[in-house]
Amino acid sequence: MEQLFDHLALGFSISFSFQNLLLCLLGCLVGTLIGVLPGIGPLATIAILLPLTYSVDPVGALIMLAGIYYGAQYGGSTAAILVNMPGEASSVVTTLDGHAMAKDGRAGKALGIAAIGSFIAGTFGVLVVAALATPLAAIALSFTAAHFFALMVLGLTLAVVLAGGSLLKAGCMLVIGVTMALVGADPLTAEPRLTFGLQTLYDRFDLGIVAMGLFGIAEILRNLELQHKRPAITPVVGKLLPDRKDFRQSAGAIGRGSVLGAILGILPGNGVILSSFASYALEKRIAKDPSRFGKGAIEGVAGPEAANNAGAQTAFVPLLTMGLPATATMALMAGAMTLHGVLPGPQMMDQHPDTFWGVVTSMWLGNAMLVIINLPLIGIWVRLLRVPYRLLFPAIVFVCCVGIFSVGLQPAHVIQVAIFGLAGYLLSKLRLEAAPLLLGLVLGSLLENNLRRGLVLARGDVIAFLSDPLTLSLLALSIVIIVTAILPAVAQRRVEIPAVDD
Amino acid sequence: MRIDIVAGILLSALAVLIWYEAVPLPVGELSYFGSGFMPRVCAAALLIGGLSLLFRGVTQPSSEAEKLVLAVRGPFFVGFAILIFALTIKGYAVGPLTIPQLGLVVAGPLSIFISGFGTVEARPGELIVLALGLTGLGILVFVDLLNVALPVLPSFIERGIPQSWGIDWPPRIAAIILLSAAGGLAWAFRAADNSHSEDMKEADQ
Repeated sequence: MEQLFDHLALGFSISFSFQNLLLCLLGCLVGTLIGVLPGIGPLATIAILLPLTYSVDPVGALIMLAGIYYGAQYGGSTAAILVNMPGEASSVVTTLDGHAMAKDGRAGKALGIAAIGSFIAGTFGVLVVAALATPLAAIALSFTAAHFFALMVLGLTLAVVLAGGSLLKAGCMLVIGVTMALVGADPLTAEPRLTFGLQTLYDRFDLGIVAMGLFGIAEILRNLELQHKRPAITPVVGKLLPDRKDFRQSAGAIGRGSVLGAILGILPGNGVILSSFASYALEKRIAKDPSRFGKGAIEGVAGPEAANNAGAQTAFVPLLTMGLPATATMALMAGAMTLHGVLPGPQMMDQHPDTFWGVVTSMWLGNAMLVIINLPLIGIWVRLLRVPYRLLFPAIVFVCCVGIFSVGLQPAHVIQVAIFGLAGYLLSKLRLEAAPLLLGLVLGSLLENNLRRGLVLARGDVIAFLSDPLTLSLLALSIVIIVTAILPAVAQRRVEIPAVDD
Repeated sequence: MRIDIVAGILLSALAVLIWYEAVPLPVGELSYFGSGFMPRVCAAALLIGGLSLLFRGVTQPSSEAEKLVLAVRGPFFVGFAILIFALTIKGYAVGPLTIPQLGLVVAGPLSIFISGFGTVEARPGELIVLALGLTGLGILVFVDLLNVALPVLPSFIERGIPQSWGIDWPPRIAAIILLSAAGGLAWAFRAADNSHSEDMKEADQ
């Protein structure tokens, strides 16, 4: 326990430097700026803004990224409450009662409780991350290559199963992602592999470019198809701060949401989204008067918002402790960390304790920033929502072009963004979710390395490879999960999970 | 076309392509597998997935089948805009054609203006103002504030600038010119459009 507070103190000493506070603030601001735009979720936001962090030092860059991540989350909630247009799937539930509250003239309170609930849940989430980090990393350090391989298989299985949509299609996309990770210089011999003789492919697929195309540009193309009626924006009236009665009503919901979100957030796939749905269902079930839900019940905003924020926090656990990103968003964060020379994983805590704890504490800082700064700025975000989409999307295209070009000063990178953008649009039309692809792309090399090392240690004997109880049980569990997901009864329920980009 | 059929064909074709490219790579043995092992495993898995999708697409009742509908306008203009940005920002040689470096002052407005036509709601006047203003702002933020070494000016102008101006001021001046041009045009359009003020008022809200 004491050690925990030492670690947190170390972290705060890093994240509270003037430069890092500024970067966190900047991240929150630009994150909200893009995240509040209807139809653009956290994943697209991070993909678009990732190049901005390249010129900053590693710790600062990660802190800025954390700011962008939370800003994007909160921006989504704002759009959900004010225009009934969820920017991201995890705020779909928020539209139900949040928008009802807004129409009822309580938009301010809905935004307020969303921010405060998120902050409380975020604080809880950070404590969970900090408490789990040391023991889980210690376990991970004792893992063999075979264990890691089995764990990755389990994680990817869960990610595919929990992601909603077609299991078959998600699996195919995962395989494509893994194959894409194999393209380029062979890790053992540096010989070209699957490059079709192209120098561009020899240089490997760049995660930032792939993500910006598949999520940023493709998202724009998808949105362009929707008829853009001027969104009806509910004016923000009433106080931003909930009163004592509101707090009494929502305190329980925030507490339950925090716990629910913290647990579900650790799951691969879309735990964050599941948690907001689960929290809403829970609140509705235990409410004295369930009929209030959907008509502006404040618990219906507070619970899911708390849950999705706690989940957004604990989603970092697999990445930071095992080095295994469990969602597409985390895959992108992992890519960003690697780019800055920080390899996420169990060794990170020993090798870069300042970075590790700096990042963990900056998550909390990001949440605090949102309450302190974003709430008063609500007027600006509302004005931004009024800008017609026909002017917004060329601006985003421009930011993407400049952003990706500024990273390597390579025109070819910009062309690749266009190609992946068009490909992403086609994929989404074919209902092939791109999120598993991103996970595969990040984990592909690790998967191959660990399988090879595991088999080398087992001398190529598959029976010996599987004889380790942990490896065997992890792989068996993966099979059980796939089989259950295919069972008709479960398959029916999976359809109800919204298929989304996270 | 049903989407599952299209997806199935595409994925199967991709699988065949991967397998074809993986053929020369050594598979090795299980005790130490070579670089061709994983690509083959992935290609095989993808082929099975693609063929199952194709099968599903062919056999599913037409009530469940979804038809593939692709928009052309948005993808075309946005893709084209990004391409133009890539070709003009730093110069590019495509076959016999060599495009000189035109810098952000040209690449920026072009990409914004062209991509703006990705929607039927596009209004050229409005887009010109946006294109110039946003590029000016972009230069100030990226080049001046974030110190990114983007080429701002066309190479033939860059060469003509005396060294004594330093490296900070030419982009800054370019940004100021762009911003004032945007402001001036916005003002002019507004004055000219006053007769159609209904339209503009709606746009402002």
